[in-house]
Amino acid sequence: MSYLDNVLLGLETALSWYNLLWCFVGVFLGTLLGVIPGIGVLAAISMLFPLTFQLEPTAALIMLAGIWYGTSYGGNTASILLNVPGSPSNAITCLDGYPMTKQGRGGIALLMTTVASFVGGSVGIILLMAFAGTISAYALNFSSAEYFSLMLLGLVAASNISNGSIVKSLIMVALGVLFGLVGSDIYTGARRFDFGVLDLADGINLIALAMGLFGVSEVIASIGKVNGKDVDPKSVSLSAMKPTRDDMRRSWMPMVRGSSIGSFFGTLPGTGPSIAAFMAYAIEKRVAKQPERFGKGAIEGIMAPESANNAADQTSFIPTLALGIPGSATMALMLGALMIHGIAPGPQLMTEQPSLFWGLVMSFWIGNVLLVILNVPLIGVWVRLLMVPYNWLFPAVLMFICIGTYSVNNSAFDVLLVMAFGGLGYALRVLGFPPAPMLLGFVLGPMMEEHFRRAMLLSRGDFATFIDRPISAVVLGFTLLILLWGFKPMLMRKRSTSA
Amino acid sequence: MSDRSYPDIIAGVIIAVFGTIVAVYAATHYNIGTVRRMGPGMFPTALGVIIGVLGVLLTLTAALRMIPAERIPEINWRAAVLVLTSVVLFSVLINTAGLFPAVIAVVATSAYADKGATVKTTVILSAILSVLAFLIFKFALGMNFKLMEWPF
Repeated sequence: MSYLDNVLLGLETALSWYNLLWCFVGVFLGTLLGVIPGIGVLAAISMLFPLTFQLEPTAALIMLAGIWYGTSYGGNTASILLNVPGSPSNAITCLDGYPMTKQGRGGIALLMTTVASFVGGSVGIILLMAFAGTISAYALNFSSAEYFSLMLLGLVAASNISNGSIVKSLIMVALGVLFGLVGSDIYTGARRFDFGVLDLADGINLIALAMGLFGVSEVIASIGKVNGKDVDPKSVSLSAMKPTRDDMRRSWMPMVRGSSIGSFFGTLPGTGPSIAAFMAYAIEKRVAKQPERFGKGAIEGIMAPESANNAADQTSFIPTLALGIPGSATMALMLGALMIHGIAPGPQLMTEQPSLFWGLVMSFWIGNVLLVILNVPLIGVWVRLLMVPYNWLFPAVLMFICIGTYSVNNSAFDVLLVMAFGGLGYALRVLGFPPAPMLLGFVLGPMMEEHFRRAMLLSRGDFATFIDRPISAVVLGFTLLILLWGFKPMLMRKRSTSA
Repeated sequence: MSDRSYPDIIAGVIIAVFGTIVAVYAATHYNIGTVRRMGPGMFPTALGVIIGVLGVLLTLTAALRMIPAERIPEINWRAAVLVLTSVVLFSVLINTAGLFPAVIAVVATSAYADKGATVKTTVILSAILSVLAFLIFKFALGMNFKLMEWPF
């Protein structure tokens, strides 16, 4: 099939009224949850995940993806108006967005970041369309050794990039892998770590783990901190949103640079939109003629990161869809969603399920357009949502988490798991352990074990298979470099303290 | 750069002990197999060892102050206890008493995690959310919930 046929097939799938409806529902709810501070994209996806069980796989994925990039659009609202990031990837937008609000330019900031998000998202989708096919065609030659090495790279990279100690992140990855091993062994059927509990025979429920780690623990951490008090709805009326010619002139290049930076970091394992937004801001400040304007309401300082995080949102689908290897915790959740809907992710996905793949990609365009249409007139509604006191919102969030988890398997035990992971997640957060690597380890762990054992079986027990195969060797080399780079600050400091 | 990070030291020790327990448990309870044909025990045993080593590493780095000690945020005990309790109550009530009691329990208990909660706002919130839960999950999505049942 030619490229154009694929695109047309995708459009046909994405524009069916059924998929269109769920795309709209996804981006709408994504924006809604993105606006509310304290609910990150992981909590948003895991909360709304159960709603997709009744849908066909394509519609379910379209909706989940819509939630994912929708939160990026909505997340900047709280950053700009309240100086509280709606989700982590919008944190950097606070730096110049909130000063703009204080100068009475909040409306302009909201409008322009919507434009930036759209441009960034579009660039990301174009790259996704261009490269996913090439990569997955190449990946058809991969064997278990390559897959194992690539997954190891993803896990190590994810631990290294998140701020804080690499040892703590690696511990979280390893604990995640361990939780992933609970249940039946795929090769022998032997039960592992279920301690005779029948509810654990099929393993720990992904949704329960994600809801606890990202939903419940985030709610506990946000109580008493988030306060939607002083927003002036007048500052975001349509007339207050008209950017000046100077704003437009200053915005072009930051959007171009932001989109490129975001696209690049989106594809790298372990990075994702937060890092992309941060890098885009840093680079923008470096190339600026008057860097002293940054932090005081420079429009460049919101355009670059907002285009970067949306570009990264889209390009992070490249490794996930083309290889079946998620590069970030959010993509791990998307991958889990694919598997729950009975779809085997990997290079075969594009050839075996072209309507799903291309429908999903085309729905990204539609979703991004919907987000622009939705956001400009509805900004006033989102702002009013910010004024709802948090002590009314979080009991509702908890209710959705409980009912959502329960309805996956009609299992009260899964709700208990949510409590357990919520408590664990909060304790680990207090101690400075990042929760995202745990989710990534949880999803990748069982796949890694499977590929490791298969690779050893094929090589007749020879560990050299991982370095004999060139791609695997290169990937392992990268992994080692990243690991050394991550440990470098510790080794350096050791030398300086012992000297 | 404050003093040694004692929370890190303690967390590292706990994790090291935990990793050791995992490795020993997996090695003694599950078949290890051979490298060529691995049993269900080999991967978990190796993982337990890795977790143990990482725990030791965390303790050592914290004890030798190679990482600047981060400030530990204050623990919001009230929020943690009430939120977690509310989730347990939901879990207990959903199959025995039904959807409405479970929703009211989770909302009414968690609402007090915020110091500003009053009886009036809690009652209103419970009522609104019960109706919302009914409309979304039972009415619109057609999920299978018992609405209300006396367990006694």
